Amino acid sequence: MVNHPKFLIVDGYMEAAREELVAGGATTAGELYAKMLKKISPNCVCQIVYPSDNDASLPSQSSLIEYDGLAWTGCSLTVYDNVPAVHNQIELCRKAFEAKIPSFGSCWAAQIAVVAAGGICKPNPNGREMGIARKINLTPDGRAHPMYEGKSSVFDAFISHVDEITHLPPGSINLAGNAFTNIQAVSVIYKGGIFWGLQYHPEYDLHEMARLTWCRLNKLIELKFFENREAGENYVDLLETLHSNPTRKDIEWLLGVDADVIQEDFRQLEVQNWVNRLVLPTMQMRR
Amino acid sequence: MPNAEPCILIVEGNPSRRCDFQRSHGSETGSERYAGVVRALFPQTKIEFVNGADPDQSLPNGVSLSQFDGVIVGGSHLHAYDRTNPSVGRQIELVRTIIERGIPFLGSCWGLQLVVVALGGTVQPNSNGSEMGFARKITLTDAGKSHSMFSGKSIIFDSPCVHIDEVSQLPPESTLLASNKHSPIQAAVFNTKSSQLWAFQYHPEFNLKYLACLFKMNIEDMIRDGFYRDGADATQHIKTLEILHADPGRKDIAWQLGIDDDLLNPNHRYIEIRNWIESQVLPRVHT
Repeated sequence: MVNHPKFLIVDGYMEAAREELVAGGATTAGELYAKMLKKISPNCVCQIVYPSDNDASLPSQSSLIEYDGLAWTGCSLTVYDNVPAVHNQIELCRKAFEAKIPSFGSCWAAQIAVVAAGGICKPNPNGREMGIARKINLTPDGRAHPMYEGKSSVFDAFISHVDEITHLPPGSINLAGNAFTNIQAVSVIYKGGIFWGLQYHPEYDLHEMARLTWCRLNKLIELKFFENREAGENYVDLLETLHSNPTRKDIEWLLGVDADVIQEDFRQLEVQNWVNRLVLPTMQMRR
Repeated sequence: MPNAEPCILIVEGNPSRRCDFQRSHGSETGSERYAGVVRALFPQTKIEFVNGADPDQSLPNGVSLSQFDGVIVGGSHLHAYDRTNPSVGRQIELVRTIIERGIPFLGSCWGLQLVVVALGGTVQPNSNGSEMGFARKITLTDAGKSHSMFSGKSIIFDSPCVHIDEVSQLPPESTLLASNKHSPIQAAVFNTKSSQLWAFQYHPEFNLKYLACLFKMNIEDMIRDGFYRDGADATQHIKTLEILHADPGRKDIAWQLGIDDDLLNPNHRYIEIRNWIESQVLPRVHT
């Protein structure tokens, strides 16, 4: 039997925002997701769609059925903004729920899923959570959820967000939280479709976090994450150095970065569980 | 007339020679650091000191152990399994006497290790190496969540710590209250016939300035063990910690070094010490 899932990756970044990332040495969010899915499921097929582009043609409900899973990236848009790029994605998410395509995603994706199902997102009163989300703790529901099989109950993860999920719709479950953000992971069940969403980013690594930090340096200085540009560039260098030289235990210790975020299999366990526990079994049922 | 004010004995775990070495680096001793915390929390407390490691250890004239409402033992560079060292043996004897008399006991690090060996458990070098400066993601056990030691504390927190040895086996009369990945035994209580002893592997009494001094004293060892690449890196880190200590409002430094409010804010860091005085010491004063 064939076990090669076909994924549609939804990269919600606007074209200009994607170009900014690439100019700063970062990988676009869609490509990053494709890289992660191919590592987890080597023979999978990944197609990327950019719903925020002006000429974007979004898949119809009938063409959605061709996919075994929808994977949503992060995004620099704001989910409660009343603009077409956001409406399009909420609409696409509703269609995916109705088509019962197993869905997964990071950050923006979790927020889109919650809003599409009737929940609410707002700016986080604690401000921007950047770099590493520390001390994420599974709820009892999270501990028992298939997405977290094999994961430790407390862990750190890469993150970058200012909005957060404040109200879950009926059928949704909060799976994890930390002191900064109450809802770090959700399972959303709506119209028979299932979406597992994370506020954090299993697809990032130290290099991608370094590039993202570099792209956002002016804003991060303004927000007092760095005293000045030199401090910011120094921090970016430390992340890059540790990425290219994992034996630099001194940098790990200095920055309080450990295997939770460095070790790829552990970091991406939620995605692996999504593929193995939701996507593949759903494919078998459909055949 | 009973004591109107709590009277606490603080045992210095290091020999005087080591204390002089600490002072020469501009640091308080461990017992002085503890006294500072107790005075900050309960200014009316009467505090006496004794050096537990020195051969001529004795209480001040006219003072006997039975006068104390509580005894605190903090850190030491000694090893609890070094039984031929008289500085170790006499402290184990002191702890046994405290246990026999039923005096409330609070121990950090060395204090924990002393109680464990006094009651028949074991202490060994930690196979994960030194846990230096910051114990991360300490997580309460179910027993920890409901114990008065942690009333008001986050269920996951970071704390200052410095240790190379750890408890490898708890004695029978103990309950494990907290753990992390580096050291599974981070906090425990010991129920003896006459009292309950509270102890942790970490150092809630430390602050960043004290840690910076400890690092300064141990630069060569820390370079050898891979915490610093060289003296320049060490000096830079130590200076940065001192800046953050002097100005806890420097959110940029705290964020870059992964030092959260749970460690930085003394009101949270000292909770276990406050809880011990309130629930173990003060009731004795009032009866």
